Amino acid sequence: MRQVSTGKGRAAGQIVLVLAAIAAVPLLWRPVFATWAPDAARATPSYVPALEPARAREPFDPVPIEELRAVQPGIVVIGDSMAGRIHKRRLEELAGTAVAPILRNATGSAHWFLIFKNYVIASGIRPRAVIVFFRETNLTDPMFRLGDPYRVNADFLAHDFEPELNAAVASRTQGAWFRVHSLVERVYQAEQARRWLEPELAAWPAHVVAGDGSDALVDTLNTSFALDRLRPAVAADMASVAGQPLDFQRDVNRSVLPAFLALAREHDIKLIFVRVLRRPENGRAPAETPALQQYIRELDAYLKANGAIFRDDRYYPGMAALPYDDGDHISRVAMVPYTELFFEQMAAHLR
Amino acid sequence: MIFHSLDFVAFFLITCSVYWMLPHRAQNVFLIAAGCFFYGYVHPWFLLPLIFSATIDYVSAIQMERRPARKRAFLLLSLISNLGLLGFFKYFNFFVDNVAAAASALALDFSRPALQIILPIGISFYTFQALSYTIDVYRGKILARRSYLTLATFVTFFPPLVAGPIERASHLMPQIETRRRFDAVLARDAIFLILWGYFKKLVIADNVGVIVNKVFSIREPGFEMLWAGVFAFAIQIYADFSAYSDIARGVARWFGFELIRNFDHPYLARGPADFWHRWHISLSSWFRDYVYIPLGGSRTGPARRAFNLILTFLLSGLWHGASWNYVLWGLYHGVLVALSRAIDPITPRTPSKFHVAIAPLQILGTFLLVTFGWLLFRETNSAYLWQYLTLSPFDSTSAERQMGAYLFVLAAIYAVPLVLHMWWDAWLLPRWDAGREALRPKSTRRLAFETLTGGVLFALLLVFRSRTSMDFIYFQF
Repeated sequence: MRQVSTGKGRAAGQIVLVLAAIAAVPLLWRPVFATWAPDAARATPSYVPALEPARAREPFDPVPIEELRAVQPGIVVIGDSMAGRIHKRRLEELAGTAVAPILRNATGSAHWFLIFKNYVIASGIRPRAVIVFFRETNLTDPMFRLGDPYRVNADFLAHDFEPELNAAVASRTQGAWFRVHSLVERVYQAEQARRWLEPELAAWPAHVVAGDGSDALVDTLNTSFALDRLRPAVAADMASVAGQPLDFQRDVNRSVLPAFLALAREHDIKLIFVRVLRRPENGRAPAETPALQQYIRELDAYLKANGAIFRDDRYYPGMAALPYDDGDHISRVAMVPYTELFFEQMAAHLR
Repeated sequence: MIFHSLDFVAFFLITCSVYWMLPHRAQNVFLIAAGCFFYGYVHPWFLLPLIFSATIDYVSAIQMERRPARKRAFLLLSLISNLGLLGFFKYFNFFVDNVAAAASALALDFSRPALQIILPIGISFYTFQALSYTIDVYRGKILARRSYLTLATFVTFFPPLVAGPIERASHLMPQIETRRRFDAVLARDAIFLILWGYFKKLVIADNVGVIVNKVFSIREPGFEMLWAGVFAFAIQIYADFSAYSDIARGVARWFGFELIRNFDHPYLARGPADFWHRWHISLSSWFRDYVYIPLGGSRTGPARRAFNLILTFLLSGLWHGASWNYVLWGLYHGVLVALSRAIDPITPRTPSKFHVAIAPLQILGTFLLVTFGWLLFRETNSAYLWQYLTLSPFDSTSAERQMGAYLFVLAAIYAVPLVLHMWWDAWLLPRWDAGREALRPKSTRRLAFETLTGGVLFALLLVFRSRTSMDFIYFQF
């Protein structure tokens, strides 16, 4: 009997030892990173410390500031590829002023806020209106496309520290799980290892297959998977929020939207937020959940109460009849008609 | 709740700690509560069909014993209730879509009922598990349980609830009814099983899944890209599904339960029939015992046997999803197995040197046949499926060939741990253990080796886990 309990105790002790040993093995990476990982030398304090303490980042790109100053646009358009539905030249003809689109693919509200703050406001220009195009819940989701692989897009827009963005992110990352995640990250430095090893893992097969032409191969591959090559339904689903729990009141104060609006008020700039119509189905706006409808109603009320203008393409005539190419992108031939309809319906704000 | 979430880690630690402080009966009550919490975590209403199924089966089984003359009627009640539930949630829209398509083809007026049905995840798994109970009671293989607690524990036991293995009442119920003791050795081994499961899911399946999703999201992949994507899917679906089974088995061991082994290195199969002895074993044995054998099984003539096989596989395909591509996939495997069975009697029983020598070719051939089947499984759109089947390698450009080769190599890199594991588990380990006492505790050296391997897996998991978190594929079934 004693032998049995001794055996049990031994096995239980082994469980603890096994767990401890398994947890310890990845620590062996740390000295390896410290010696060889290239990111370790380049890392500087993060501009969003709520996400990570340090980051090997790309430098801030100041070129758009100079361009805005040179053009002195009356209208600035901000957004991702959704904002590409505006035909710049046609809008300039209609509005009688220069239009400056600052479009960055694969971005979200965090990036758009940084564009507004660090480019538009920093340039000192006084546009008639700044138009921001978005989908569904983008405006209250600062984390959208703020993680890898899109994170690098924010590097070009951010200064050394971005307090408003950091506050919004921090409000999202104060939960117990995020603290566990951060602790694991601090202990194992796994993200640093990923940034070091992942490109190697992706590059090696390309090198095996194409030798010196591996860069060209990767470029061709990326082109093959571009949005205009996707099946229509797949591209449209990429931005779907179906099934997500939606709570505008909870999320708005954990986003950059209040800072966005405050900055616009402070500098007396008219902000127009445009919710684009997602890919129509049989010539009609796609169905949406009651939760999303409620969310949009609350967003509308909030924007208006804070001095901004809200436009929901879903409810404007002619929008669902426009041809779409892939995903939620309208076709090239529809850009001029869209811009004309948009201007006609929003003329009061754009003249 | 999903296994690969911190919520589940906390849930597991809390439930496991509380569980072992309770007496036997309270443990079962606690398991039911834990199962309900686990399953109803996101959508509490998912519990309604689960409880309905358990209650109907409880009543039906008892009535079968109490009223033997009406035994058949109560079996029918259980079958209709469980399959009706499954049919409503899973096949209603499929049925209506096909009626609408047929009506349209015949120029008939058919107003399609607008009913948005959300499929409760894992419904196919627990209904089949529950059915095994009533069918076995009907056949007199097991006794009906008088305790609703036992049956509810059987149906709501959370590790296999969402994606199997589909447990049999004859296997799991005795474990529920017996007093359980914490087995530290089993628990220690379960750590490796769980870790290997997480590695397969988060590192292999989810990373390879990115390749698969990319290939199957574009309108016109070339021949090479398509088949690299299908090859990647063969890796993804095995890593993903077997990961769930491994985690479920490992977690169950921490609660003192042993679940059925659901996979036995299916890509080492030497023929289509062998594949089905190794792939999703709990489902294929379910169909064998409850469909194929009642149809007459192998005791009939060759033609009838082939028919039985094909019908069984057709139903198995339909079980996977309400879409014609799954039916086609089932038909494909049914034909393969029927053909291999037809050839089987003419192959010699005793393995000759020749048969040993051609084993690698048999394994490769089976893998290629199975991989072709995965195209039918993965592509739910019949127009795209037809387009893919008519792709020709001769139409490819050199750039397309290079892209296909790149994706193939990338997927193959992620498959390396699976190959190593096959080599370890199916070849090295049996030789290592040969001649040793089966119950002898593991040597310190082997334990140290496994621990080190576990540590390496954990390190790789931290670094190479996919940035794209995907649901387990079999959740949709």
